[in-house]
Amino acid sequence: MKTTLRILIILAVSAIVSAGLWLAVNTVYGSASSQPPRNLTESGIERPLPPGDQREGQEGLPGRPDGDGEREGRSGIALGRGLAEIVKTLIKLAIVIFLVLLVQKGISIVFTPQKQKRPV
Amino acid sequence: MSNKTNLALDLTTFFVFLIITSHVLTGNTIHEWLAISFIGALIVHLLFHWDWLILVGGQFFKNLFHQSRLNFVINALFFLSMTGAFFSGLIISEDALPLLGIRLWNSGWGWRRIHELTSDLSVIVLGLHIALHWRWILTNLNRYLVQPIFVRFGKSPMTAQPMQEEENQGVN
Repeated sequence: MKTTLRILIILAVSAIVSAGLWLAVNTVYGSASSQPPRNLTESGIERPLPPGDQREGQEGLPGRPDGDGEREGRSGIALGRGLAEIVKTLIKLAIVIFLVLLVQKGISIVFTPQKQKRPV
Repeated sequence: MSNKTNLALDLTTFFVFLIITSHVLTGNTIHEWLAISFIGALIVHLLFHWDWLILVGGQFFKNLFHQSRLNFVINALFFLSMTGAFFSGLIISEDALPLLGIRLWNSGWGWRRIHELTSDLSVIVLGLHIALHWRWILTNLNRYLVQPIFVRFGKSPMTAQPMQEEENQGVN
């Protein structure tokens, strides 16, 4: 019972935050946020992009059916790119952690009273 | 809740977070469903630390310049940014919500940018969150992960740093 109440409180706070975000975005962006992307109609059906916007050369070579090797190559590239994204996130985290620890160390050095040397 | 359980949940949540950030690795469908399950993990994480939340939240304006206060602000920021990322993610959902018969895409064009923004913010605030709990993480990783491995392979375990009571209760 207590746990259910706590979960409800968390969800309620999330709902309030989300509603605030919704209002803020709609106020700032106005109707621009409610327009669909250019390649979607109002009902969500995809329509062809203008020639200048079409992506070319990403779906393999024209006129050649995809072989297993090509498919494996593409999935290998996707795996590599995915792992690279994870490494990028880890590097971002490491930089933030390093900076915070550095600041903490600096603060502790500055604010720790130094022991006075006794005269010999 | 024991430190071991906390550590296990936190490590799992962290690895899931890393996988979620890599949209290319998982593809859109897994990205969306993993993120929805991540909401559950975050709720459990909040429930584990509920007493601390109430304690520090209640004394927030009474005791200035305390690390728990800074922790509370960072945690609140993380909650806000994650809520923003989840909400905008649900709005631009292409696989998970349409599978349930809900399609919000038409009302959500500008939201992709918001999703990217809040996701990037979440990574930075998570870095701050981890940095503020760094000693707790190192101590417990050493105690529950590194030492058992050394013991299993018959080598002398590294000496764990003494666990401070305030780290167990005050900083979470």
